[in-house]
Amino acid sequence: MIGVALGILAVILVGPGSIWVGRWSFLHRAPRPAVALWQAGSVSALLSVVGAGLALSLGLFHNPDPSVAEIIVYSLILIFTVVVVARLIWSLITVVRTSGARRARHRRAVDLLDQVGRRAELPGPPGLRVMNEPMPVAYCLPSVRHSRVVVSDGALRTLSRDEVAAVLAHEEAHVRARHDLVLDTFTALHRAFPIAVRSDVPLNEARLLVELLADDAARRRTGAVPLARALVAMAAAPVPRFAMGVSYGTVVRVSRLAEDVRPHRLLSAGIYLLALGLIALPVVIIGAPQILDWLGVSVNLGWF
Amino acid sequence: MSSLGDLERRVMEELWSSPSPRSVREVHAALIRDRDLAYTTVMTVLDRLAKKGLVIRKSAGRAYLYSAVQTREEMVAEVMHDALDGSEQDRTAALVAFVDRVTPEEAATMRDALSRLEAKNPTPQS
Repeated sequence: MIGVALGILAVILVGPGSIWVGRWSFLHRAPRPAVALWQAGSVSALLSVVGAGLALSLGLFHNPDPSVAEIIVYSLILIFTVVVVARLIWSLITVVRTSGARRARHRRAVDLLDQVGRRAELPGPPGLRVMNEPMPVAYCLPSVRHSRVVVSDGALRTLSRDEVAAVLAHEEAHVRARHDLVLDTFTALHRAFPIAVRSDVPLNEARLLVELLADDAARRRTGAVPLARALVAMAAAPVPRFAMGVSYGTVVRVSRLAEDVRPHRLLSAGIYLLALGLIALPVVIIGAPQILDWLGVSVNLGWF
Repeated sequence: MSSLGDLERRVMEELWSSPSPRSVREVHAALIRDRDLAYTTVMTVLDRLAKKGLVIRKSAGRAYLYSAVQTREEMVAEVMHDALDGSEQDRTAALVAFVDRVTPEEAATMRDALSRLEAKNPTPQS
């Protein structure tokens, strides 16, 4: 019972559940609780997968006379569980290590290429570097102590003064809140699940949500208009030399600034509650025999 | 920036600005124009840069001559490529870019939204 229930929960969370929640555009009103919701959903799915695998194989051990089919099915489930856990650990290590090494290399390069003279006139966050590049570009390299915010000459020439301030405030928010860590964990979780049973929705939503968080921070400092203007100016700039990546909601971000959406306290509380509920689900299922026991109900659910 | 990082940048700028390889003495002479600096410090910095593979060292008679492995433009191009590379594997791993590029249709939608926003917030054009 328990193993099957957890298995069904895992399938729902990874499959239709994430697609359904991915359509909830109201989550964009409250990006912070929304990030928590996606994190909770991912943790819940992971707990369910691991719990299902363990419960089912435990049930097999308790079965004195299993059939061949049972042995095959439960072994497959157990192998799947082990694969997911091993992949998670492995991808956490490699994602953190490779992105750390890549950032360090990149940081050394931008430090050497920095145009100190251009930086002096900017209302810059610490660690600002200006690149001699005609294309309008801005990004950040978050790190514990050596964060960098990089802007190109092209961006400084394309944007007005308050638009530059908005872009810098946006990047500074990423750096301060360590949004890279949020994305790193979602990336690791994403890679933990084998491609066939993997959902792209949580990682893509997380990418958009951290942008919305940084937009909100920038809007508080410079107002919505300069930020929206900067977004439009930079997103529409032609980039001849590079393959175009998938757009993670730049359009959504501008529309959101135009609608002036603010999170309602009730909405945020509701989303946080939902996140708690998501984590509680597999925990309650795993603890069901114990809980029923406490309640004085004696039902043998069985680990299956 | 740390003073060492600052020094490395100045040394690289010196090598980039020169059409031919430079000796430690020449780099030192150029740098002490705006700050006091020991000859051995410049030598150490060049040595570090050579170890990092940013600078190449050739012996010419009694002295060593140093030159940058890449031109400044090549290095900028590499940095930009690293930052903006569209490949899925890398894009999340290292960097969070300010915007993604959009299609012309998306750009039009964005401009509409922007003009709605500007209509709501009448501000003097900057």
